[in-house]
Parts: sequence; structure tokens; C-alpha cells
Amino acid sequence: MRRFILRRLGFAVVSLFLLSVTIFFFVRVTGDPAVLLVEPGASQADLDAIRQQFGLDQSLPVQYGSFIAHLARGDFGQSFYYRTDVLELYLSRLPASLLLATVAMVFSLVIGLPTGIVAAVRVNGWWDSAGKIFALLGLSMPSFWVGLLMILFFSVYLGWLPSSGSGTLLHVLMPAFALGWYFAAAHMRLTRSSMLEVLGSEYVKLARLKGLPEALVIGKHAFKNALIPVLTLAGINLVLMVNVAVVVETVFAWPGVGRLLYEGIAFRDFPVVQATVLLGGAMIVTVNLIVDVLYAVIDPRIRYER
Amino acid sequence: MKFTFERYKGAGGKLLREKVREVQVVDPGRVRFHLREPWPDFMTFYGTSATGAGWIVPKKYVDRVGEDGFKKAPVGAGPYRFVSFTPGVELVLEAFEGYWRKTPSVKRLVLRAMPEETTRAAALKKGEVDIVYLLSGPVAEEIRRTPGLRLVAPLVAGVFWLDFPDQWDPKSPWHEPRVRLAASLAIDRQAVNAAETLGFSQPTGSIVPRSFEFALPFDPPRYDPKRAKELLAEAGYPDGFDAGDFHPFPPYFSMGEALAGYLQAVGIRTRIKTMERAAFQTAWREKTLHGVLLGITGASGNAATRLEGYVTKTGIYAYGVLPEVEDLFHRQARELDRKKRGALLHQIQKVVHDHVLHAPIYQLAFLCGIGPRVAESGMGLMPGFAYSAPYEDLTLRTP
Repeated sequence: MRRFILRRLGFAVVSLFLLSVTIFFFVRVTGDPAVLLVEPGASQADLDAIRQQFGLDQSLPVQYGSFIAHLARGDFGQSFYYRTDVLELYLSRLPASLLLATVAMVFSLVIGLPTGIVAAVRVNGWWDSAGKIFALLGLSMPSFWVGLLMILFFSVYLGWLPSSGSGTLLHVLMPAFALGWYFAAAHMRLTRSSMLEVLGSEYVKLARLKGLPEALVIGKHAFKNALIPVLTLAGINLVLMVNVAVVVETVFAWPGVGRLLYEGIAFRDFPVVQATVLLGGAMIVTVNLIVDVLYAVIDPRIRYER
Repeated sequence: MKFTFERYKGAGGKLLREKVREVQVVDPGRVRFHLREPWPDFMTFYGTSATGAGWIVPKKYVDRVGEDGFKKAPVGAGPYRFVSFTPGVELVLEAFEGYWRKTPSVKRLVLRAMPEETTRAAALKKGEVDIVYLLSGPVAEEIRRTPGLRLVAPLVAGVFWLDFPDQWDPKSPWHEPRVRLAASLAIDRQAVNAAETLGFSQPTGSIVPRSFEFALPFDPPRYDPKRAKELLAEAGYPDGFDAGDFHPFPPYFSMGEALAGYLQAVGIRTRIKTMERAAFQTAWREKTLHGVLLGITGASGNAATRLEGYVTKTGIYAYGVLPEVEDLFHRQARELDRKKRGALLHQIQKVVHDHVLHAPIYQLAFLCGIGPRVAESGMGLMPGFAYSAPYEDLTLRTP
């Protein structure tokens, strides 16, 4: 078991190292941040001064070395644009993203699980077709479009909800729904397929033969077992929701990590992009690591096979 | 002022330090700047948003709290005091009762970052915000139609123009001035203006805004596609030509599409190539763009500072230079007689215009929405400035 965990940890470190290399070099091929940081009409000397100030006049390997050296000390650098500590900036945005992701996850599960169960129980029936259409809509309607429609309807026409920003529970409802909508469809599909698999299993047949009420068969015997893959996916999706809600956070002016990434990309704020991507990546790697270890704990075959 | 000047580390810092020999404090209410050599545009650089170097900071406070402390709680000499700043989210300001000019009427200002235009418009319609900036044609039209809301569109220092980077290559069709003039005549500036900015922008024949010091105003070229085709034929391109890529300045892609359509209609065939802003600006500065580009600059200054970047040897966006223009530009930079300097700058603008170095489109109107609570939005009070200002002049309607 120890060897298994150590090997997994090694993979995690390698993944993060590769991510750091990729994001560091890729962000630098997208353009020169100095041109966005100077006043319009600035001279070449002004540009050179900005590049020197941020160390962009150094060679790429030197810049990367310095980045890694600082990273090892937990220093993600200073934002080019906001001139403030990037980690501080990230942490100031993280609570908003966590709140948004949590509420979005609740929406996605509240919508996705029941529709998935009903679609599986009434397979090939009307409910199943409705569920498939819902899944198709959820996966194909872009969240920014859903968001804008919601703003127009609930905020402008009905006046029920604030159009954007943060501060109250009402502010989180629309962005959370727009974000959770896509994931609700994904959770519905997985719940449906997982339920179908479980409903066809021997122990469910036995439960029915024993004459248990259908509600008990579905609720206690089938659903509990079908839930395992759904919850695994939901856990990973929660991390994704925290880190990739770029569009939803931008549309709703939600002050989260996704919007920070958008700002970082728009202003070519390399330290912000690097930190946001790396910390997001670290979250995903950590969750995967935990899931791998938990699987190995639950099922010993996994740790011996790998 | 002396302390502020010496502390300034902005983009214009190097230039200012090179040219200013000494800042002398004559008495508590007066300073004297000693320059190393005549620099007629010193105040244009120092005293405007061209550098922002003139914004005063108090020495005692900076010394007491240090640079980091100052960054967290800055103090200036303006009508509002700093309350809080959440980077990328909002800035909160509170009126400073003792402001020298007048006591601000609006007691609290919250400046919010709302990246999405539709969201800004929705927030205005719902009454969550009072002023929204930067609207495009269709959204602005919706604001205009909404009862209780107002649309304002002050003219800013931003001018759009078509640039022809290949005109300096003798083998390129763009080298021929008649071809450039044909491109300019092919464009219906008023129609583009109506579509993009609801007709509020001002079609122009120069890249220098009329409001700039030393500007020589030129009327916009008339829309004459027939004459454009004749000019192309006279220049040896009766069937038009393939002009390569058309690079619109991001995010003005729809405007680029419209302009490319007008060029296409007279036979100048281009392919729209959209780029992300930083990539575009880098390529423009590094002079790697070819074909046609839609440029814009909103830099404040005067005719000399506007022209320098685009038509002189030191111009960071100039792909080529006319020797006549270069000579005139050097002469005006040394000229201390304001009248003579103005004449030289007018001469440059005339040469640039006559050679059709660019095809100016229009001076941009900055479309903004104003909510029902606002009496004085401050929009347009400072000529050429895009935003509400001065803040102390903002007022709300009394209920």
C-alpha cells in the first residue's frame, strides 16, 4: 500500500511539473504583456523598461528557473497588472468560487439524480425520452447563453434576482444554476446508465423475487450502489466547477477564480495565469490522488494490479 | 510635486528623467522644472493622462506607510478618498469634504468591473448601477429605447483608420497612392458609424482628433465606389487585386467585416484575420502585419504626439517614413515659437493626408448608458476623456 501511494504521489508530482512547464511556455507564446501595460503611444524605451521590471528581458530558461525557485518557496510572484501578490489574489477569489461551485453542485445533483433515476426506471418510456432531451439540452446549451437568458428573464423582466455581482445568497442563484446546468446533464446521464446496470444485476432481481416493494428495491438496493460512480464524478466535477467557471463568472461578474483567470489571460498577466492554472491543476491532481488511494483501500485488487 | 515626480516609475518615467534635469522647489506653492533641452510637449506628457506622472502623492504619508502600505491605502489630492479596492472586482471611494475645488455632491462612488456588456446593460436597466461604460451599437440601441435611461456618447481621442503596411514596398499595389485613395473612397463611413456607434462617432479625414492642439482638420473622404473603381483601373488594377489579410484591431471585428466588405465591393479582396489583442499589438509593433489593418489609438496628447507613433522614424507603429515628414517633424520638435510649430505640424498633416498614408474612418464616440437617478453624469465634461469626470461634478437627482 505504501509503495502504491508513493508511486501515485510520484505521478502527481510529475503531472504538476509538466503542467508548470506547459503553462509557463504556452502563456509566453500568446503575446507580449508589456504592450498592454504601457500607455498607448509609449516608446520602445518604455516597453523595454516594463520588460526589465518584470524580468521579461531574460531568456526563457532563466525566467523558468526563477519561477520554479520562487514556487519552491510558495511564492507565485506579483501580478503584472494588479501589482499585488498573486497567491493573495487567488486566495481572495477562492471563497467566492467555492460557494458558487457548491451551490452549482447542489443544483446539478438535485436535478441530475432524480431525472437519471426516473429515466432508468422508466427506460424507453416517455420519462426516459424526456430525460435524454434534457441531457442533450444541458450538454449542448452553452452556459454563457443560459446565463444571459436567465439575466434577461429573472433579473430584467421579472426583477426577482440581482443581475450580477456578489454579496447575498440571491446573487449566487443564477450563476450557480447556469454552471450546474451542464453538470446536471452529465450527472443525469451517468445516473441513468449506472442505474440501468444495477437494475439488471442478480441481487436486484433477487430483491424483487423476495417480493420487496419496488420503491425499496430502487431506493435501497439499486440507487445506493449506482451512486458510487456518480459521486466519484461529482467530486471531480466539483473541483472543475471551482476552477473552470471562467465564462459563467465573467457573464455574472462573479468575483471568483475563473474570472481571475479570464483577467489574467486578457491582460497577459503571466503570474496570474500560471498561479491559477497550477493551483487548479494541483486541486485536480490531489482529488484524483485521493480517489485512487480510496479505491485501492476499498478494493485491494487495484493496488496489486498496478 | 518634486517628490511625486522623482517617485514616478510609470512607463514614461525613463523619458521624463532623461529630459528633466532638475525639479526646483521655488516656494511652498511653486516648482520649476529645468529641462536638458527644449521640449515643447513636456506639459502634454507630464500633465495629462499620457503618463499620469502629475498625480500628486503626499511625501509624509508615503514615508510613513512605505510603498506597500501606500499600495494598500493610497492617498492622492483628488475629490474622493480611498475606502477599499478588490483587484478586478471593485473600487470604493468616499467624498472628501475638504476638496479644494468644491465638495463632491455624490458621497460614495463604487466602481465595479463588469466584463460582459450585456450584463452591464441589464444591471443598468434593473437600477443596480447608475452609469455603464463601453456599449456597442445593438446594446446601446436597447438602452436608448428603454424609458428612463439615457444614452450619452462623448467623442473621445480615439480615431480609427485603415493602415496599409505594404505601401512602403514598391512591388505592392498599396505602393500606388491611387490604390490607397480608392480604398478610402470605397468606404461608406457614415453607414459604418450608424451600425457600430448609432451615428454618434464623427467621420474624419485625419488620424489627429480635431480637438487636439495643432490639429489640421480634414473632412472625411466622400463615399464614391465608382471613382474608387476608376482609380484602381487607372493604377493598373481594373479587376481589383488580392490585398491579403485584413487585421481588425481587437475587439472591433464586426467593424472590420464591414470595412472589408466595402473594399471587396470595389475589387480589393481581403481575408479577415482576427487576433487576440496582445498578439495583435505585438505584431503591429513588431511590424509583421501585412495587407490591411484597422488601427485605433486613444492616446491623449497633441498633433505631434499623435503623429509621432505612426509617421516618423521613431514611431513604434510606423512601417515606413516619408523623408519630408521626418524632416518637418524634427524641425517642429525644436521649434519654440508656438505659431511656427503649429505651421510645421499642419504641413505634416497635409503631406500625410495628400499621400493617403492612411484611410481615416471616424473619431470614436464612447457609448455609455445613464440611469434615472443621475442628474450630471460627468460624461463629456472633459473634452476627449471617455469617462465620468471630474467626479466632484457628478450629481444625483433629488427624490
